[in-house]
Amino acid sequence: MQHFAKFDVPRYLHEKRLRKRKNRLRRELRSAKRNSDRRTVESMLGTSSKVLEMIAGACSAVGRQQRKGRVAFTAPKNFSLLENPSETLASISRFAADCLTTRLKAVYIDLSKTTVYDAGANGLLDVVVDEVETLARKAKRKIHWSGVYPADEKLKRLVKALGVIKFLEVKHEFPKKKEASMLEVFEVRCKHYVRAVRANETDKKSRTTQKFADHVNECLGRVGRQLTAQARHLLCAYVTEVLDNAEEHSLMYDWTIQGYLDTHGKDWTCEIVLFNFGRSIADSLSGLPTYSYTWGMIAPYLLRHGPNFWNGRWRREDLLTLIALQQSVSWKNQSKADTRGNGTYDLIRFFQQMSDESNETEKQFQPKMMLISGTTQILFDGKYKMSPNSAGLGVLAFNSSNDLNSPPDPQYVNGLKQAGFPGTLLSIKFPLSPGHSSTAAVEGEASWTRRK
Amino acid sequence: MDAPKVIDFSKFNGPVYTGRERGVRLRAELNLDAADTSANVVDVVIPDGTYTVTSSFFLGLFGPSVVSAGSKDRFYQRYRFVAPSFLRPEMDGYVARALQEKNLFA
Repeated sequence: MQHFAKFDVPRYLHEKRLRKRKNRLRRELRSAKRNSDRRTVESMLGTSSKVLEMIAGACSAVGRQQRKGRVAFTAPKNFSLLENPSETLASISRFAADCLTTRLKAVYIDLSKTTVYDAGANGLLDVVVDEVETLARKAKRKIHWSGVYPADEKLKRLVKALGVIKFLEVKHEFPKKKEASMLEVFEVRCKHYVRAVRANETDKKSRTTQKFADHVNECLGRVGRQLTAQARHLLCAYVTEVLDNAEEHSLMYDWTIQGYLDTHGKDWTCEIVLFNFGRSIADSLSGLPTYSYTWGMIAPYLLRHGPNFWNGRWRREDLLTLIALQQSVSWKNQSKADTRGNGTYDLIRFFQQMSDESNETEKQFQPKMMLISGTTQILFDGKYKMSPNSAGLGVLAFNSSNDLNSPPDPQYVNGLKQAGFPGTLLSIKFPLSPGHSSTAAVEGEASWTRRK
Repeated sequence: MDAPKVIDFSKFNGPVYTGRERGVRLRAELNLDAADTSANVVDVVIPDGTYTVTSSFFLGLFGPSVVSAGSKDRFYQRYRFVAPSFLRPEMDGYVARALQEKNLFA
């Protein structure tokens, strides 16, 4: 049978035009829908990362390389939030600011100079990497990631198991099976900006806490120990109160929890880091009206030690952060009948119990906990302890008499000089004694690149 | 007198009971404000596999009842707890916290 183009040319051309027009209309419709979806998503979530902007703070990218879309991050030698929070936060802020440049093409992460690296610094670096990668995915761009590992095998394992390698899914650089079997890793990030609390259902926070308690039990299982029901309760109360406080007070539901235990070698160290973005502790208290119940409770402390004519030593933010740790202090309490303000009390109680137990069993080093909120850092190492005052309220004044009428020890409570943290962060490190030595370190390459 | 009201935690998803807001919502759902004004006893059963009942959840759920009772004894006369042994002293501490004098500089 002959095609009708052979005998009815006008009809053929007419139908061809119709087909073309139909296809064009279909394409336009599809494109309009796609653009409308994109615009809806962008109008709801924005085109840039709020978290990245918060971490960048006042820093801005100025270099020529950054303008060309190439960013290099060199971590400081002491890249640790427990030991060097100011410089660590400043370096991550600069990195975040550089990554905010439009048309980012390549990122190079150099950890070769780093000799001290902890889960806190790693967790923050992970968030920056995660945000940059998410933005690139949304914009359908590909970023070339590369970097250099720290020289120390132990730190290299942390980067591979819980650091940028894991986040960028650089599978060919993942720890080998044997190496991975000696690591206990826990990582959860909540990026849900809608919080739906239901009386009969557990939320993500509760499920994460349950999994985290099981993770710690697995860590302890390696040294033939197990959390007692009481200790498990304290740990869960600790984690969940921190997360609950993060959600309730920061006004932003973006929190991260990471845990890490490396059982290579003789000295085992368990690291936990929890952080959230949003309002700092001092921000939530400083927004209170002066006639409020809680302000009446904390004002004497600010008047006594705050900046005044005679004494300008203590910044208001530092004092507000410290007073917020005391039992029954909560910006949400409106009268004596309110019962809030016990979360930080439970948190400190848990750390103290762990510190006391460590004193008896571990001789390597003392557990340490660092609280960073806004531009304030508070160090816990067991030297100063929370104890009830004469009214029975748990008080931790960070001075030898544990009296809030005396100022705190500036070695333990002070302001961050170079950069702050846009939210609240808790980093904790404690020893675990295995009582036996393990296998030797696994050798490998010193640098990595993500293959496309 | 009516049969005691029973609050069985195993009916609410566990084993981690946390969050002030969840406690407050559960209180409203269980209508504990009305229970506080009646003469009825409330039995609270917490299952053995529970990991934790945090102070914020407990005080969101029972805080107003503790405050309105005014003392530990009166609260425990109305609310009878069946809980794992490790949780009993903890919850007793929460009750004490709700009734505590709130003076930081004492």
